[in-house]
Amino acid sequence: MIELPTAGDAGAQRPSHVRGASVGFDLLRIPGLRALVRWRYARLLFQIPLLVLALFVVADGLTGRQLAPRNVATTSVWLHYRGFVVLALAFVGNAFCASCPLMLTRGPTRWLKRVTGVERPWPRVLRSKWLVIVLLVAFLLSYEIFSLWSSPWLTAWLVIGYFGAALATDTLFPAGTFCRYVCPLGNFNFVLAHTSPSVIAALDHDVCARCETKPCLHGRVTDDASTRAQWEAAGLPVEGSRRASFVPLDEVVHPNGRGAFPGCETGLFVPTVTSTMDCTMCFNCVRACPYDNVALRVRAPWREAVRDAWGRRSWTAVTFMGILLLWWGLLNALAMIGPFFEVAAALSALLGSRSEALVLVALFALVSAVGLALTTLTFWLGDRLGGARAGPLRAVRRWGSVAVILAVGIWTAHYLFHFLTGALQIIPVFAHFFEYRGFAVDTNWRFGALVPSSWLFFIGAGIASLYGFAAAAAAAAIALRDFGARGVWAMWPVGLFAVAITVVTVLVMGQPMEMRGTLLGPAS
Amino acid sequence: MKVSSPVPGTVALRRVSRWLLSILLATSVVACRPPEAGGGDASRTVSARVIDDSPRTGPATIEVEVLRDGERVAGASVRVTGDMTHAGMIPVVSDAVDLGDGRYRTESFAFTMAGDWILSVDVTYPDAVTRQVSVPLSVGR
Ligand code: SF4
Ligand code: SF4
Ligand SMILES: [Cu+2]
Repeated sequence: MIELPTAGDAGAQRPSHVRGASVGFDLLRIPGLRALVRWRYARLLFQIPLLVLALFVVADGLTGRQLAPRNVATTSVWLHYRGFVVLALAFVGNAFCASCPLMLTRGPTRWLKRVTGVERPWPRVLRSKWLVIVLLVAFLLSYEIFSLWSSPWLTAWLVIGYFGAALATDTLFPAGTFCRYVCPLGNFNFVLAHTSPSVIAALDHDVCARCETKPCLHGRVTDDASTRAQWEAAGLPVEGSRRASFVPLDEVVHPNGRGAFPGCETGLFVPTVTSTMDCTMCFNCVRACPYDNVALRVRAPWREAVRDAWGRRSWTAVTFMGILLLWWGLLNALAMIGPFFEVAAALSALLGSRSEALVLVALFALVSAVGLALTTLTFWLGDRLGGARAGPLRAVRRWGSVAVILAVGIWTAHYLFHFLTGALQIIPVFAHFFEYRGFAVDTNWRFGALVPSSWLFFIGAGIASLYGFAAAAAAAAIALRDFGARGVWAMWPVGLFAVAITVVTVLVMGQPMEMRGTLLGPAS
Repeated sequence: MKVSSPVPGTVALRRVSRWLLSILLATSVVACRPPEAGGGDASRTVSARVIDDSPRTGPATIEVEVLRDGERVAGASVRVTGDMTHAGMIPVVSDAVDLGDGRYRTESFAFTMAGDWILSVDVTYPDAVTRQVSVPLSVGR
């Protein structure tokens, strides 16, 4: 008989802060939702519309009019996709990953794996977020260097490249490798989901403790008990190094009976989940759990920060990714206002080079280095005032969430700003898609903003302030949690840091926007 | 000739990869360079300029010259559209007034934001032939 790998005794492993915690409201209790999520093709239902959109993006991007505001590629990717991503993250969770059309490559990769038999383990050195950090900065840099936002053609190629990369990665390596260790978009979502109001959780931890094979993680194959030997002889499905287990039909308490149900591709184990990090909301765990024991718990947006979910896991790279996203978010927003171009010109003169790429690389390097140093110093100061003797790395892990909350604020404000400016343009842009190809459609370009333009600043500033306030509050909570009475002192450096970043963000949002593809003006 | 297949599925794989390759080649023909607008005969030319040398945010007057075989053509209809290079920005559209000598001038055109703009001029000649030209433009604060 095959030895089934198990994740150990969940009861013994249960983290202390989870024990006794009530699940709170389970979103899957909303009538119909659990049934929908449990349905085998639920994800497909959301992926198909996005796939169709991706096809439009590629078609119009490659062959349509090369004018960003008139093209489906640039409009839907840089306005709608990004707008919906931050809206969903703020109000629901990582909904984009849930409906990610890239995961439709799962069929082809499985087939390619079978035909070629090439799957190998993802290299151990890459099993962290450092590679993702590099890919993220590469993405943000090329966004500026090639002005991706202004080129439908490059935007289309970006989408094609994404599909290719997902296909290649998940063919050569275990399924889920792309999401967890490669995809810059997914990891951007993972970081911003830090403040999302929902998270996967086990309903009853005692059920998990008694659960023998942990199908939510490993996956399961279910059939009549008599077929067990047959299935096991055939080699149950393997995802990476994890072999699904056989669960007899009479053990499954819900309608998802017979069939193969994969487990968590990003390696999350439901009863130990305390963070949305790496959760793509694929709900594989809901489908695989034979005991219907998985909930989508509603939580307070600051819960993950205050419960120290990242620090407990020693996710140093994850925390650095969050801090860097704060500074890159500031830079990305700055790149849309006039003073940015003056700074770029000054830097260009200093470097004695008129190469845009060089100036941008220097700018990113500078901002990353100064930002990291400043953040670390502030956090370390907080630790000192609290009386902690540990090094700066421990301080970064302790306070990291504060920077992440600020990052969420900046990206949300920025993306929503664009979304609200031109959301309704999607109507004429699609009409134009057909008009451009000879259909008798009369395009009306007057559709535009969702809100009066005079509101935009207040909405942006409001969002940034809200998250700024949350970040400062988190700083106070973390200080009081870790330092008791001394927390009254320890909270100040980090709290003021939150205030300062928020003030800068609001100032940036108050500047008149200036959109330029050329960083440096004509040589004079 | 029959190709023997050592592993089931290799023939299918080969067929699919050949198929994929041909799609890739086909797309690269259209996709190796962004498509460009334009074309048509060279006898009809349109030129547009902003009266102000260094355009700024706010109202701007744009003058268009419509030519055919080097001669100015009156009686055409001319529409000037300004687009920003960022998605979501609502285009600024203005119909130009015929000055009578083959020159046309917009009246209520305004740049709504500083940055990179593309001015597109759509001309319908008196004989119903249409032309479109686009000019990139940098608008200051
Ligand atoms: S969530 Fe379900 S499958 Fe996972 S350990 Fe608990 S009972 Fe088992
Ligand atoms: S299977 Fe994993 S990634 Fe999918 S919803 Fe469950 S915990 Fe999240
Ligand atoms: Cu922007």
